[in-house]
Amino acid sequence: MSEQSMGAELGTPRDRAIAYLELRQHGTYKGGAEKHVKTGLIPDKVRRTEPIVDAVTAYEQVIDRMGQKGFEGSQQALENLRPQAYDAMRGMQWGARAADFLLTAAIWFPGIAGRGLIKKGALTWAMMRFRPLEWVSAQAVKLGGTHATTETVAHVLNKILQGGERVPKPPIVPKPMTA
Amino acid sequence: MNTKQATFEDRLTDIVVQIEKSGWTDEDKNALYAKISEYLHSVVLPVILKFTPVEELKDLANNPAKDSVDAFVELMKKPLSNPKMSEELNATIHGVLDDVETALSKGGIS
Repeated sequence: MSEQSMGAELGTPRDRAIAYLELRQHGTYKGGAEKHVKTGLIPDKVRRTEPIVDAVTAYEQVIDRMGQKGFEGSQQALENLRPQAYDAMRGMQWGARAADFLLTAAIWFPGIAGRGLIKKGALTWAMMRFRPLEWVSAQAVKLGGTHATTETVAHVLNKILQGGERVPKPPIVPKPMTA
Repeated sequence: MNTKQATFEDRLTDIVVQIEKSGWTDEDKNALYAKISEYLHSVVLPVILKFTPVEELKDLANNPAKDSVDAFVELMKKPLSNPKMSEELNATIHGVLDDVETALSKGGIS
């Protein structure tokens, strides 16, 4: 389906918006069906793209093996450290919104890491594994400052930044039995 | 595109505010948020890996005895501290936000 024909064939505003994003992301429209998104390490489109295919393969091997060694538990460590890092960020007069990116910033902010609040190496690995987008956003905050947002918007931003697996899964509607 | 005027967070916040005010159902909003999240996440690691020394990464992958958190962090420091990577990443994620803004207009939100 082309971008031009998309508008005519897709009925709802939601379908049109999502179809456009799929088209831009994948180069094709997959149907726009509701799905529970779980972000992969590397999208298939990139996995096949030269010249980084070697890097992708090697990166996934390393990540997989580290996962087998037990480092996957670092995701829970990130969650557990969030309240501590939040307090630390507030103490340094960062805005409440910046504190939502706290873990990434804490990792790269010497004043916090230096206090022994977190183990920098382990959390850097965990951020790269689980929260790369949050890390990027924290870099932007450090460069560009912060501004206040409402609770509702902050909640949604966190969901977007922390990954698709956190977006609520749509309810499963059982199909009627047929004789 | 207003990359120079607004940060990534500013733009994403504005987008979320527009969607919240759209009158769409929560189900529709969540579907769009999931798509935005998936799209944004999909562009980050590829850019980082583009600036990662491939030979060192392959060496780590081929030597199970070498890989550790410390070794991984040392390796990733290189792309993460490369200003060109930051520039490319910034341009890439702002490009995604350009697409999201276009998508909102196609969905009648703008």
